[in-house]
Amino acid sequence: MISPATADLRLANGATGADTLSDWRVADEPYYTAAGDEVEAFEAAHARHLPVMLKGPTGCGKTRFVEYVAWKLGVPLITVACHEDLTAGDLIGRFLLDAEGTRWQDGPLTRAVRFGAICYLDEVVEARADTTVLIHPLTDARRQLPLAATGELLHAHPDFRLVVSYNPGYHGLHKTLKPSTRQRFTALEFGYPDAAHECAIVMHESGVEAGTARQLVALAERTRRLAGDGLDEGASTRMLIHAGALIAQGLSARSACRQAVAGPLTDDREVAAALIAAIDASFA
Amino acid sequence: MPASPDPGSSRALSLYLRALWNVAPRLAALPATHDTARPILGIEGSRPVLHLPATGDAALQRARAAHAAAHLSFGGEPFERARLKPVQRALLEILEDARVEWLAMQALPGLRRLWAPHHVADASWGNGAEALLARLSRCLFEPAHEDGHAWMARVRGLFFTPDGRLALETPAQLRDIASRLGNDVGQMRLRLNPGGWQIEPVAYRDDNHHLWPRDDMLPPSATPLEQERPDANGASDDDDADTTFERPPPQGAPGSDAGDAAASVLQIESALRTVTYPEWDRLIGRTRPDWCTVIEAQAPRSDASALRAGLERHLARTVRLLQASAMSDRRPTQGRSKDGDLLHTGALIDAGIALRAGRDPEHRLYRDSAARVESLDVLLLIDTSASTALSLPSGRTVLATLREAALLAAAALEATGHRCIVQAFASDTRHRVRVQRVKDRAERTGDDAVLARAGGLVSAGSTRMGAALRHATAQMPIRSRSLILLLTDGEPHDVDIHDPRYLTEDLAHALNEARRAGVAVACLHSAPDGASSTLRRIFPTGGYVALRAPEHLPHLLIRQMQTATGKF
Repeated sequence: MISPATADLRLANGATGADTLSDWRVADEPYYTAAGDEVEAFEAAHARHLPVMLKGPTGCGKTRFVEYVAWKLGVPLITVACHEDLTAGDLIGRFLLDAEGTRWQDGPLTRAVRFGAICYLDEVVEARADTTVLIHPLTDARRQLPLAATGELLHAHPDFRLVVSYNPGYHGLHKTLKPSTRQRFTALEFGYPDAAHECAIVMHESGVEAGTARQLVALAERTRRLAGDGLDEGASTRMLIHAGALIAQGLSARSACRQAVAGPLTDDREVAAALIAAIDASFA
Repeated sequence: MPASPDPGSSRALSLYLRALWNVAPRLAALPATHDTARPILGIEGSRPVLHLPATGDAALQRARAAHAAAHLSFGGEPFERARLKPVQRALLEILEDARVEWLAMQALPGLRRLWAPHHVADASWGNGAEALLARLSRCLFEPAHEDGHAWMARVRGLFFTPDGRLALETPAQLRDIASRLGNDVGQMRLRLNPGGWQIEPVAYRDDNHHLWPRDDMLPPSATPLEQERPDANGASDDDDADTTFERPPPQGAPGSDAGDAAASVLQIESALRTVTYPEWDRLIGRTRPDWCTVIEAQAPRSDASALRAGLERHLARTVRLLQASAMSDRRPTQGRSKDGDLLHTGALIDAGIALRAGRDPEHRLYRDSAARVESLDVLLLIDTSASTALSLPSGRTVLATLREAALLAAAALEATGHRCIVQAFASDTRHRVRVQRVKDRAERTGDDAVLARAGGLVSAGSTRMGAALRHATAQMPIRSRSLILLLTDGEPHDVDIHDPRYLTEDLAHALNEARRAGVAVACLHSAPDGASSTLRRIFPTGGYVALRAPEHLPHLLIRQMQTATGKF
């Protein structure tokens, strides 16, 4: 009773061709300053069709990095934020019903495979195990994606690349990637930028003065000392940008940091008290 | 203010010091009886120790700790005492205090706000020696303050450069200036009270004894600091204050506690396995590896007919409530869902009909992915320490109440499709943490063997919760929703630990480890003296509940399960 309209669809999609992904092209150069040779490393993996895993704490610039290299390489970027209810269908696609009957709708992964884009699975460990297995045939020499629902076997477009991000810090024992998955990737390690870099980023993204940016970065350094004891992770670069934006908006530095740093970092009253006191000490 | 600082605020203080200066002094309390006490900083030994007076609000404690941290961060070698008169030494201490605070405030300007309320001396204090020194402290702390005294201006001129930087960089310079200023004070014909100043003008500053080398000619203090602070004079004339102790590890007594099985209050008939676990030692601020020995054994059997009767009395209602709660989580979808991967055949036909009839079709077109209610792995951990032999207001012992609650919970969990283990624990030093198996995953709660083992639990030993919790966490299967439910009457305690905060902080660390392993931990507490503020504080919000009567168990259980399933 379900008659897959795949052939028609493929025709429709084929007619629009490369423009299909125009929305996913990164139009303007994203602000990114390299900390080391990560851009070259990514380009090398890209040239040889190797999947890449970006490891690092939250808010240190992994997503921004992918946007930057996608822009630099001129390849569309399809991002999927993974969560624990993400099913195979959410990635691959599913049948929908419209006035004509059922219609197959590509999921983001299928779209990237079919038309050639970087598919970026953000926080891939959050996805269910059966979902991560899907990417296996795409990450080796086969580069293919079987679509069980339509009976189709998709061969990846030459521009298709797979990138995942992964925060080894806080997931604990229950959430790690299986060796059979992780060994398919090459890995780039990310950390927080060094102080000078981080200052420049905070200034650029939030519009605060150099002095304020330096104070924010120094505060972040202080909170990062508590990682593993009291905090899972210290303040991220993203948090500093938020705090900077609030300051640029006219808030006092202390209020801004309470709102953008202390509050989001912890619910533990004692840790919060220590953080607020540290914020008070850090700003005149 | 309690007699000893609230451990909670001391944890906040430790985190504060670590974050700002990356220093981790051990924090200890001075007795509350001396309300003029100054903090005492000990820097000898492998880890600095900061003794804080018990009096004072959070802001004062923070000011004290921040000042001590400035010493730790910017201080140098002790000054030579030779040839310095008391007034010169007092001046040198003031200059050094001002120097380290000035350096600290360069990186952390907000500290000025913390310390400023304590600098209040001005010309109205008069021209006595102590008043002048207090006024000097203020002038050096607050360069903009106009004191009006020519000598203050002179000291400031020596201490700061014209552009407001520190003029005194080296200990030799400080010492030189202090002795010159001491002569000034002499010429002003002022005499410093030989016992030091009695009126402490800057309350948050420590007694500065660490600025001077130990004088072995002076008799050592007979009393350890943690029990008794040096008397009021000794606090300032402190050369003899001996704070060089580093306490030995708390369980260091050789032989006496080393797992003497024959003498132990805990009987273990045939150990099934022995595992060692680390323990957090707050004194060294580190985890001691392989520190606690957990011995696992089967619980002995005993008569169980009374238990069965109690179980049957409450079980039906508990199961009904749990089932009702599980059903309310699930929407009546007839297997259809608004989203999913596979289309629901019946829904498609219905939709086709609806479309042809010109009606809006139903939105739920997919097969419901069913398992919305995931089954849980639950480990019920019963505290069987000696104190559980006490009676509750109901007339029953704590152990009987906890045991019935655990069996009821286990039976109800099984009946609603969850997996469940029941174990009991007690300890007798770190060498002997006994965990007794009451019910394994494969057994049913109603089995005779399980009830007999539950009946065989007896109250004995102590409550080393951290080790028991680590053992429980290690047993939880990976990649499942898991919950450890701790049923207890008290707070962490063991006979080889005399520091009330030691095992509590270890438990907090064990809880954190469980959380990071993805295991939710909750605590059901039932004790003759009511709720436990310690446990309430260290368990996450909602993770601690006081169990007043077994009838309340179903509701509490549902709440804990919802917390566990909703949490991650």
